[in-house]
Amino acid sequence: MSKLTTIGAAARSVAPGSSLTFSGFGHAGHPLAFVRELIRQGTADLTLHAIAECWPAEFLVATGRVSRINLSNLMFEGLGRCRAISRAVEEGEVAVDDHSHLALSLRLLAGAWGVPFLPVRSMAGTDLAAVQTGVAPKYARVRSPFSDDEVGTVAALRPDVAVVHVNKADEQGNGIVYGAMSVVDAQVRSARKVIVTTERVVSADEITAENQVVTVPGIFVDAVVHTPYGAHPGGMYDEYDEDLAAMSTYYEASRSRAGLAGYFAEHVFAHADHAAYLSSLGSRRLFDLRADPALKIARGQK
Amino acid sequence: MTATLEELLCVQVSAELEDGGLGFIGLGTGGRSFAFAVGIPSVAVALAHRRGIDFIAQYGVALEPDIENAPRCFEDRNLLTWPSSANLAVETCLDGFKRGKMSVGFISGAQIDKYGNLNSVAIGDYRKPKVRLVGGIAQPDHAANAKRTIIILPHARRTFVEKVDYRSAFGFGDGPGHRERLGLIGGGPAKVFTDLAVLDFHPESKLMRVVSLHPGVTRQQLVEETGFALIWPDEVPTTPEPTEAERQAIAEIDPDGAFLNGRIF
Repeated sequence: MSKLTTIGAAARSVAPGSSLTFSGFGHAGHPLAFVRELIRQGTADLTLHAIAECWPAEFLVATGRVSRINLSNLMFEGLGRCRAISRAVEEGEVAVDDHSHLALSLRLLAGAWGVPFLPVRSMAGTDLAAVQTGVAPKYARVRSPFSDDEVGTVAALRPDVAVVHVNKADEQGNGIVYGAMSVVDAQVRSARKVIVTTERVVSADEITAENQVVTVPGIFVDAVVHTPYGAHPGGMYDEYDEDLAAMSTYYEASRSRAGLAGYFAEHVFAHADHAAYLSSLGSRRLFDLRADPALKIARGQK
Repeated sequence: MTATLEELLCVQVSAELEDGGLGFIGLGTGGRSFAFAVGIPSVAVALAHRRGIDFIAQYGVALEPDIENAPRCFEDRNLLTWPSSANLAVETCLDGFKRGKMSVGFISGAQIDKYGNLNSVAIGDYRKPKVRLVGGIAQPDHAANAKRTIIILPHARRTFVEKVDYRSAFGFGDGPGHRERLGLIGGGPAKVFTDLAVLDFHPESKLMRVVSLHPGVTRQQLVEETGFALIWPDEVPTTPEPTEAERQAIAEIDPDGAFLNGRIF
């Protein structure tokens, strides 16, 4: 049976209070069309396991949808801090629990492997280990079962939902991501539910022809949503570039709460759905962002 | 002096890099932070190459890229198409740390203490901070596992503090023996490069000490900009200025200031 569904139905399957993890790294590969739909629906009290999803986390925090974040870092490369997140943490509106990048990826990997914890050397002796503000403990030191050494461990994480944006997928959710993978493997395998948003829905044969690069096996996937330009204003490798002007518009707006309210009114709430959002951008702008099939990028700039 | 501070630091950091070494350079935010975290280590590695030193740099996922043909704009798509010997997954790109193979981690932060512990998480109370920073990123992994770390950051009294508000990257912890007690495989911070001085850590006490002052910087100025007592040598050398040849090389490596002026977008 096909797992294809609408973006609205997929977003409605995320219950208030859920824990979420999103694909993407830097300014590319984030499922932002899905995040905008989640914001329209008002789904709140979310927990984020944020390994590199600066844009989804920033949008959801800016609209007051997030209560807690487990993170290793949230920053905008080349721009600076994620201002809405920094402000919300400074005002005590969002509770955070910090990790090293490796430690947070190992927590997801432990969830993916179905084991309660994995050992890690990093974080020993730091406040990342000593200050534990999460709902459940993240770090403990134990005696190695194989020697007299003490070793740090991090607890497994099982996100309620992973939302992963891919270049192409078939109707069963077998998905291929080109470019930076980040920790998509661990996110998909650790989550209780996986929603794939995809630039293109393709035949099973097309996936089979490239099955050695299938990042998201369909057996783990619950829903597939056809979502062209689903990472806008960020980029998608081999599809389209980052829309730097649109990203700057957001970053300027994020200087104040009023600016943010205006941004989301204009770019999210004014549009009934993702199709209306894309229409507002116009075909010329979207076309100009398209990646050159040989260079994989649009402007070919050095 | 005629050379810029960035040029001076590039040459100083470059002198630390050894033949056969492997260094991890992370990604940065923007402006000055980018120059300290990414730009200076990058140019330093390229300078080492020009001296015939075979030092491999890894930029997150890009292993051994061609630094002298770096993207002028550090967006992901440019990093992905930057000619390099391998483009790694984010998770496995840290394997060099896990196995203790990484010889240098280049790190930075908003606060550092007398034992070289760094803070890039929060200023003030963690639960309701005065300033929420970007987070630890992979720097705690560098600090625990790299054979040594090289720390590059601006020198100011609010940065050089007696005790960091939040210890996100482990230097020498509470002092001698602390790393060993925790079983950390890396050697800890080797040197600290700032806009005022070069510093290292006393081999026994693990306390930060002065190696040299940059041209024009006085002892009093360094004391005023440091929030804890430094160890001083009897004679304080002046950090050598870059030569004209070194400055020329830097101009060739970074012709439009993408690295050293931190222009990423």
